[in-house]
Amino acid sequence: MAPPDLEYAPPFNTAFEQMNTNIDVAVSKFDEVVDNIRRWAWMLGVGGVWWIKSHLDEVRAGLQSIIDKVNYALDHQYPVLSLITVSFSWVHDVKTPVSELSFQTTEPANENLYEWTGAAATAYRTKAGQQKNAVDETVVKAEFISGWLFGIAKENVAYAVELAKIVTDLAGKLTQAAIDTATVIDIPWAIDTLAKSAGSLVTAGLDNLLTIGERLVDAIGDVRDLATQVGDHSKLPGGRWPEAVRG
Amino acid sequence: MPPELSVVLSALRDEARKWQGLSDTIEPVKTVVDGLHLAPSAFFIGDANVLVHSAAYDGFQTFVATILGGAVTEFEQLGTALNKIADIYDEADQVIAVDLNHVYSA
Repeated sequence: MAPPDLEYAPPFNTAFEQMNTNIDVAVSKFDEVVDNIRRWAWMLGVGGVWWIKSHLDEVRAGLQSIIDKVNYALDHQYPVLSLITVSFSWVHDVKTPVSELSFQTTEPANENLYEWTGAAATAYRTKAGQQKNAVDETVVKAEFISGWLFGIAKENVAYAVELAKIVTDLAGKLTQAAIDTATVIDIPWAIDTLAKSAGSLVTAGLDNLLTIGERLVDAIGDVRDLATQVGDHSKLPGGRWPEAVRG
Repeated sequence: MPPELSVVLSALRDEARKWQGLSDTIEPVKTVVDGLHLAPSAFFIGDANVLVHSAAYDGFQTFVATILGGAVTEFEQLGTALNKIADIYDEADQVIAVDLNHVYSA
C-alpha cells in the first residue's frame, strides 16, 4: 500500500485543478449563451424570450449551486490535505518509532542482568513487562487513528472527484449550448436540451455528493470517544501510562 | 554460588541507561503527537457536519499525547530506580533485600 499522502493527495489535487478550470469554462459559456439569446431576442418574440429566460434561470440556479459547492470545497482543500499528511504521520512518525521500542523494553541491555535474582529483580521484570504492554497498546492506537483518518481522506477524494466530474460535464453541456445557440433557428431546441440535461446532471450530481457525505459520516461511526474504541485498556490502566515508579 | 556483585552492578547500571535512552527516544514522538492537530475544516471538503469527528479526534490526540508524556516520565524514573538499587547493593557490598516501596517511588 502506498503511503496515504502519495496515494490520495495527487488524485485529490487533480480533481481540484479540473474543478477550477472547468467552473470558469462553465460560467463563461453560460454568459455566451445569454449573449446569443440577447442578440436574437428581437426575432424570438416576447413569448419566446420569456420561455427561454425561465429555462435559463433553472440552468443558472443549478450552476450556482455547483459554484457554491466548489467554493466551499476550495476553502477546505488545504485543511483536508493536512488531514492526509497527519494520517501518514501517525504511522510513519508515531507507530513506527514506538513499535521499535517494544523489543527493547524487556530485552536486557546487558545479558548479565539474568544473574540478578530476588524480589527486586522479580518486581523489575513485572514492571518492564507492563511497560512493554503499554508500548504495544500505543502502537495499536496509532495504527487505528491512522486508518480512521485514512477512511475520511478516501471519502474526501471521492467527493472531489465527483464534484470535478459534475463541473466538467456541466462545462461540456454549456459549451455545446454556446455553439448551438449561435444559430437562431436552433435556439429553442438548444435551450430545451440544455435545461433538461443540465438539470438532471446537477440533480444526480448533488445526490451523489450527498451520499458521499453521508458515507463519510457513517463509515467512521459513533466517534464520541475514539480513545476508548480500540485495544485492551488493561494495558493502559485508567487511560494512563502504567506507573513503574509511584509519584 | 551467588554471582559476583560487580557483574550484577554493571548489568543494573546498563539497564538503567537503557531506560533513560528509551525515555529520550520516546520524547520526540510525544512532541510529534502534540503537533498532529487538525482543524474542524480538515475533515471534509463538503458541508456535512463533522464537528463530532473533529472533537473525537482532538480527544484522541490529547489522550495519546498524555500517555506518551507518561512514558517519557516512567522510563526515566525506572532508570533512576535501577540506579538506586545498584547504589544500595554497592553500599552493602552484596545483593541484599531492598525496600521496594522506597526504590520504586519518585
